Amino acid sequence: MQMNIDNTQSQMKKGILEFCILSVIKKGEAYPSDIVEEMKQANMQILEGTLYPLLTRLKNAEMLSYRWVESNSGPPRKYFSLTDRGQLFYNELEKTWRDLVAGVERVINGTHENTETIPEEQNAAQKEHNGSTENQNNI
Amino acid sequence: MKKVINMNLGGRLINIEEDAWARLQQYIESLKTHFANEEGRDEIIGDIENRIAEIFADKQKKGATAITTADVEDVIVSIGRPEDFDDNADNNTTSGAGTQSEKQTGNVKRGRLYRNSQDKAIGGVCSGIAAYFNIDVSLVRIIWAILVFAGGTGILLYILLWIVIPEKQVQTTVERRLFRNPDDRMVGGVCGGIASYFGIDVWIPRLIFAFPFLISIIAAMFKAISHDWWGPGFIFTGSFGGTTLLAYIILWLVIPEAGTVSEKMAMRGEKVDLNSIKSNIQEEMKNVGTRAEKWGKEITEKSKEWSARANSGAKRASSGVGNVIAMIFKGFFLFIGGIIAFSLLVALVAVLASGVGLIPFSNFFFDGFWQTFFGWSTFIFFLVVPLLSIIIWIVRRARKAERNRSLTVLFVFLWSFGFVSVTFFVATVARDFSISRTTEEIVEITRPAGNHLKVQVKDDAFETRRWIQYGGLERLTSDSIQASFISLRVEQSPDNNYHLKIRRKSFGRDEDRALRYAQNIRYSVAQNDSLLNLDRFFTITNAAKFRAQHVTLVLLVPRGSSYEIDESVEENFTYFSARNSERWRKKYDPDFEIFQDQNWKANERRVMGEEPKKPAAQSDIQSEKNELNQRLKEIQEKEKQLELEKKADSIKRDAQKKIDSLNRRTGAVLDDQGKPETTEDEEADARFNWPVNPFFSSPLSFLNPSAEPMLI
Repeated sequence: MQMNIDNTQSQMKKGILEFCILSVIKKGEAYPSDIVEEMKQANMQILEGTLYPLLTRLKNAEMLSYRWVESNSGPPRKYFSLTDRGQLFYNELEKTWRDLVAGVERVINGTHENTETIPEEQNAAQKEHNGSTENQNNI
Repeated sequence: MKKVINMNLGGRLINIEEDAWARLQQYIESLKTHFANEEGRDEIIGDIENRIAEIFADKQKKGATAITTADVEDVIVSIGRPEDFDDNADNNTTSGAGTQSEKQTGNVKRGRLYRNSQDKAIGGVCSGIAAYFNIDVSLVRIIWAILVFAGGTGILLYILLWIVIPEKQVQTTVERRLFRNPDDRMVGGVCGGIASYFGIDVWIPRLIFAFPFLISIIAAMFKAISHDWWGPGFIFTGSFGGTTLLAYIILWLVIPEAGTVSEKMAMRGEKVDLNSIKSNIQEEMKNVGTRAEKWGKEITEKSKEWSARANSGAKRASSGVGNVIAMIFKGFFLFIGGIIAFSLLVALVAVLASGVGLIPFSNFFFDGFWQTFFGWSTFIFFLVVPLLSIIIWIVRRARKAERNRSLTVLFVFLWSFGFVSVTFFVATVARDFSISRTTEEIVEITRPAGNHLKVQVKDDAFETRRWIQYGGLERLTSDSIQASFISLRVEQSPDNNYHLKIRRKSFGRDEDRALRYAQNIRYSVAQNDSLLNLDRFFTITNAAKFRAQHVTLVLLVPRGSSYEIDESVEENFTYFSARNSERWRKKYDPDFEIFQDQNWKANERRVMGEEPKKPAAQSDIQSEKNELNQRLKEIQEKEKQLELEKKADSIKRDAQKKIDSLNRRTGAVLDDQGKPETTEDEEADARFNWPVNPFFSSPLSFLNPSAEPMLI
């Protein structure tokens, strides 16, 4: 039972990981360690080993761009920022997220009045998902 | 001091300890394989390397002279191991390709068990198993070799698996392997390799291998000083020292030497993947769990149909009662389990303690290499290891140390080896006690004066000072055992002489051995007229093994003769303990009748063929009384006789006087003055001779020598 809960929880978190990372970067140029730190403070642990591949993938999908910044403590650092495309992608994701939160809230509170909204949202999410994979495949 | 090397990482120069460097290389290598199918693999690796360089640079800035393995481990924890990465997150972006290609190479984490065609010594069974559990193939091969030596089960098992398991190319993912370490060697580098494999200091395996030798050297020195010295020094002499030597040589042969750099890295690499074993098992359990769940769901759905109308309140109540019952049961089992665990521990300590006491004399108990081997491994792995693990567990618990899984697995492994040993050991020992032989010797006893024989045990003023007593094993030295497993019975002799039968008995693997061991028993008795001194022990020399030897003495007493057995016999002889078990005797001891309980009473004088009077205490007093009465009578009779004699004397004297006076009157007397003197002399003579010589008893013939011529 415990294991299933863990599983479900991590599944939930995984789904919103990219969204979270993008939203951190959206606030301004970010260095990967900053992202890890910020996520940590929000009580959402992420391993750097998971983060780096994700950033690389997003960069390759032209969602992110980076620039080298000389640092005084070590090698030059990569600072990431959103591209226009990334901004659009983020906006879509944000909309999905808001809808999702509202929809989930509604489901949790258990009113059966407006049953159509939920499939609508699912469709939207599905579309979004397909869109993103298509984008990547094109690139 | 560890070797420090300069490393260029992410464009920075980093001072790093050699082993930390190897660890880091290995980690990065594992990341590379993990991201092998990733589009921007090199970039990812580069980013991570940069990040690591940054962390290390920071460390050096803070004053660290060189990066240590601990630092590397910290970095690995913060960045994460490949197996910790959330692979599912990838599916959102670049899905498919990676996992598919993984499947193609057969590098599926949770696969079937295959024989590995990539790496095979015989049929690839071992390496297949190693790949399945994600452990080092050397480990599997060593275990298999042990099984082969342990009665050939390994071979059978291997053939069976060879037939059953399909062959396939399996990619092994084990990161750490067991090698001999050429850089850290004293003999063959075995200890160094073991140390880096288990991540322990090299002195630990060295001590384990070298300790027996050191001890035997010390023991030999002590032995040279004092021949009789025995103590903990003998513990590891002989057989055990040889065992570790053999183990070392075998490992030297089996384990390859780490020649290339990559092999050296593998030698120091990832911890033995016990973690991966665990995760594999967990996954398996999960699978079982989901299957069980499915099945459970079906069952519950069916039952729901049936119990659709069941009252929910009643349900809750019943489950409450169920919980209580379950709690009670749990508590009960916990309690019983606790008691069992505790008593097991106590028994373990007791067995161990007595085992330690017997160690110096192991040569008397073990016969042949395998019995010695299994005896020792039983002792060490079955008894010492669990005790050690309990102690370590308690200590670690007290220090609130984290659970160390590799330690647990190590102990479980060692203990299961001990379990195998115990099985084989018991089997070999049981065989050694399967046959018994008895020799019989009849000692002639010369007929003692007074027709009475007293039997006693010579007391040689020897005291047992040992802190553990072993029943009748009285004195143990390196070349002999003295035991008092002796029993004495009394039977009627077929002839008119006393005899003593000495029956020496021993068990053994076969008739020859049993007979030889029985003949090896040295036991003797010594007769000192009416005293029969029995030896307190019999002696087994080191030419024989201890196989429950015992001696039965049968004293044959002729009818009408008496015997007495001193209490020292009862005190010093130890009856073979198995005599109490009737069933055991009947089953395993064909001539068990000689083990009957003693048929005599200590300090009681008895005559063969006469029933002892009962009850004993009263008859004792009665006989004493009778005896005294008898003596009194005898004395009284003697007194009477003496009085009678006196009376007779005085009567005779009177008679003499009368005769004298009569003679005088008849006028035969010549001299009046000298006469009384001569008469007195004559009277004394007469009194002396009178009862003896009837010739002189006639006063007439004596007193009238001069009258004869007169008569003639």
